[in-house]
Amino acid sequence: MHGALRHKGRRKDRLALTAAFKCIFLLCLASLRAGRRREGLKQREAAALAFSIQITDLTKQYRKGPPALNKVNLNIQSGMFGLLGPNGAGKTTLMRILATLLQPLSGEVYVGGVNLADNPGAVRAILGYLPQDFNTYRRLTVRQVLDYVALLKGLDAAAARRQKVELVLAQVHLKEKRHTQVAHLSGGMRQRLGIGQALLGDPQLLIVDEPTAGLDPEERIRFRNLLVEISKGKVVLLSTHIVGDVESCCSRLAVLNQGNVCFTGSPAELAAKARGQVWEIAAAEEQHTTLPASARVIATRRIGDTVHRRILSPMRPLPAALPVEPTLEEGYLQVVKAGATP
Amino acid sequence: MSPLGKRIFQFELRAQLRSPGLWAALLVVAALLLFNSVDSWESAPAQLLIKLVGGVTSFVFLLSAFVTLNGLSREEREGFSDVFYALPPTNAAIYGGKLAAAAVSLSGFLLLVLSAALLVGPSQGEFGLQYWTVSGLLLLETALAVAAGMAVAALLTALVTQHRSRYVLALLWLVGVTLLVGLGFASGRYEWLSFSPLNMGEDPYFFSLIFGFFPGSAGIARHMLVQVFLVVLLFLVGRHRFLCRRENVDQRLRRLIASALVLLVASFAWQYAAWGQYRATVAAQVNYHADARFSKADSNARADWQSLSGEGDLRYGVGVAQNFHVARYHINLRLAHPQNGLQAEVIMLIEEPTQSSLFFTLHRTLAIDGVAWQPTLGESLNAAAQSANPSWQPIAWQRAGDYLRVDLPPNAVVSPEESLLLRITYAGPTNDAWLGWWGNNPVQFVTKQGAYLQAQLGWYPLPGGWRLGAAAGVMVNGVYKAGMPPPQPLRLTSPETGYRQSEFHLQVRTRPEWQVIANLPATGTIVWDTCPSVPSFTSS
Repeated sequence: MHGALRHKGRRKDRLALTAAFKCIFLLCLASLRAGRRREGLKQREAAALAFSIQITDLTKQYRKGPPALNKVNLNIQSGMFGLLGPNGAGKTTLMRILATLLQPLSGEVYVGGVNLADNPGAVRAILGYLPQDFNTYRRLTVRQVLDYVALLKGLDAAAARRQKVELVLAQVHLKEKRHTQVAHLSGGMRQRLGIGQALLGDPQLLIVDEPTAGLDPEERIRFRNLLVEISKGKVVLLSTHIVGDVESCCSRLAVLNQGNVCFTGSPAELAAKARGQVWEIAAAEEQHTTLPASARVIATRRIGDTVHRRILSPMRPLPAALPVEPTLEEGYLQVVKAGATP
Repeated sequence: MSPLGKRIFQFELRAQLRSPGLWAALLVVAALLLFNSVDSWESAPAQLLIKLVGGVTSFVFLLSAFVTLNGLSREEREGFSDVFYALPPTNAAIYGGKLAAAAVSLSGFLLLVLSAALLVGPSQGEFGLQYWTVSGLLLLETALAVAAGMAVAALLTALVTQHRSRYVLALLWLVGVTLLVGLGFASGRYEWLSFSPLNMGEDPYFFSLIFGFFPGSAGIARHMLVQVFLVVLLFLVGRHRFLCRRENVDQRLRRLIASALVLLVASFAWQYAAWGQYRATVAAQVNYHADARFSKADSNARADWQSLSGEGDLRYGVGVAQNFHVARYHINLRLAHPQNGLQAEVIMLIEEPTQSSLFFTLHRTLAIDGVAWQPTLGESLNAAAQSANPSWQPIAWQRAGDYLRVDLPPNAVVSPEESLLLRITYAGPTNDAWLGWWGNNPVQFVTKQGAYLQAQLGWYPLPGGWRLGAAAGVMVNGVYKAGMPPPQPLRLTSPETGYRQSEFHLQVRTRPEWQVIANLPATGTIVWDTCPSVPSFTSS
């Protein structure tokens, strides 16, 4: 009896010891995992911060015509990057190359350290792309389209996918249209759907070509804000004709003209390119003014009976003209006109 | 298949199954099968099945190309291609998934053929090996037509950027292939058929399968080989062109294309050699009657169908009452005459001619010289004596295509116990006769090897109206293969025609070295009299 009790006591001790070891082991494991997680997070954050696109001597030529891109060099860091340029400047060609849809004639592109030519698949895995004229399967509903794109972007788990699709639907304000067929969406709604599909899968590189075309002013502002919000730690490449979009969103931008990069820098630097060349003239409506050939009226606005004209000219166009602080649009026009190099 | 490929496959399959185009395609093929069956229902099961399925191969090819193009160009059509190709799936996953989905959705064609096979044979009590062999081959043929359509679609997708143009080009492809086949037929270059999706309804294969003619099963296998290599080559070239547009092309693909090309050329050369040998021996026509013209055949065939208002449907030749019985035939036949391929004098002992009009079936290319009669008055038929008998009286007759109506004079209609003699003389070509837009006479039955008198030709007057070349009762024939032993008159297995059996006396005058093979009913006496030299032959 006594022996049995003693044996029971030893067994209890052994169990307690084992439990203690187990606890220590689990604690160590948990702390190890937490350390690794922290490390992973740090690495990812660092990678995200360091995520960039290096474009070196990129040239693309179609069968007919001059080069669409002529030895383009760009270094695009994380954040929003604007691409401005007139029609046919090569913006869409550049974006299609970055979206792995076109092969360049020569030059190199590194996206997040990955050579685009060697591993286009790796780039597609981190890419969100919205082309200029977005359209999709007309017979599918908004939700079905997003669900399919999410599937193809690797969101396998049904619950997570549903959650992500719902989140995107909310971001692009299409929640109420989730069961509407694409064929029945208006142009603006379809554009929002395009933005939504590009946002799926949390892309590291978001390429958006004329994304605000067709959106009403309220949606445009909302969309700009959304882009700014998601651009943290990512590259958002925004191509647009609307200079106001770039001005309000992008910290850096490039101006392309005839396949050449005319300018890279901040919006303020671009605006500064026209400093000393923008003039304003206020004159009565009926007063006829003849401008020199080198001068160009950029904007006209009426205040009462007076018409205020902003003029881009390398020299004072009229004695009454007053120098004014240039806007981004005027800087852009000046750069395109002068064919300035960075 | 990669996981992304699987997702694309599932999506595409759902889209294909929802597409009205696929269901319309299946409906078209089902309707064609049904239409062909109505048209040829009286044929024997294996023949019927070949006619059913053989006639739809071209449609299966074209519809497969269209359905595949529909899937492959879905994103371009919807304006979604830029986004789609910028998504993570590789080209292999995209096109693998899409083509797999097209293949699965197009398997509906195979199910239709299988259903036809399971319906036709068993419903007519046919369970023979030949029937199931034919069924298996037809399934393979359909699968090849589907694969060929898909390959053409893949190639066109890679080559042509405008997605609408691809549909037009697929249609033109079929037109081109059909023209090639037509030229092949016209020039006797049957090997050209190999570049078209296999159509076992076409003559050489049809006769191969049913009667065992050249090219036989080996020829069918060779055609299938050419088609398989062609399909593989089209797919590989399509892939090569596609990769040239988007990615780099590796040497492995180039080597694969070269291998497929070599195999295609080799398989075609094999087919070419086999058909060349056939042309030089079996199918070689006898030169001196190659240009024969038969003005009487034309005039005979010009009669209006409506002018022969007999019983039954003469347009199809089926169901015309056989209102008499031919107790005995005495056929005096001359083959390979310098002008006419075949000349014949047929004297028939006709019993029970209870009506004034007698209907016969005689192949339309055999032009009738004249029809005469005389009462037998109880005498036995002695053809040699009767032929010279001056009491033959010419009588009126009318011709419409394969059908002949003989109008007996009122005094010729006798009581059921009595009989009369009818003599028909006719002549016609023995090879490859043009039958209008319905095609050529399918068998060149006088060749360097010999003469083959087969039922499709209706070379002797058959009592009643029969659809030549289709009706089971008169279609059954012997087998003629190159290198066969010396001439053997072949016996038919008993056809279910409702005939009472006739007795045959056949005298064939032809070149001694020829083999002469004929179809004649199972019972009756055949006097086989091959002359050592071709004598002059005169018909009255």
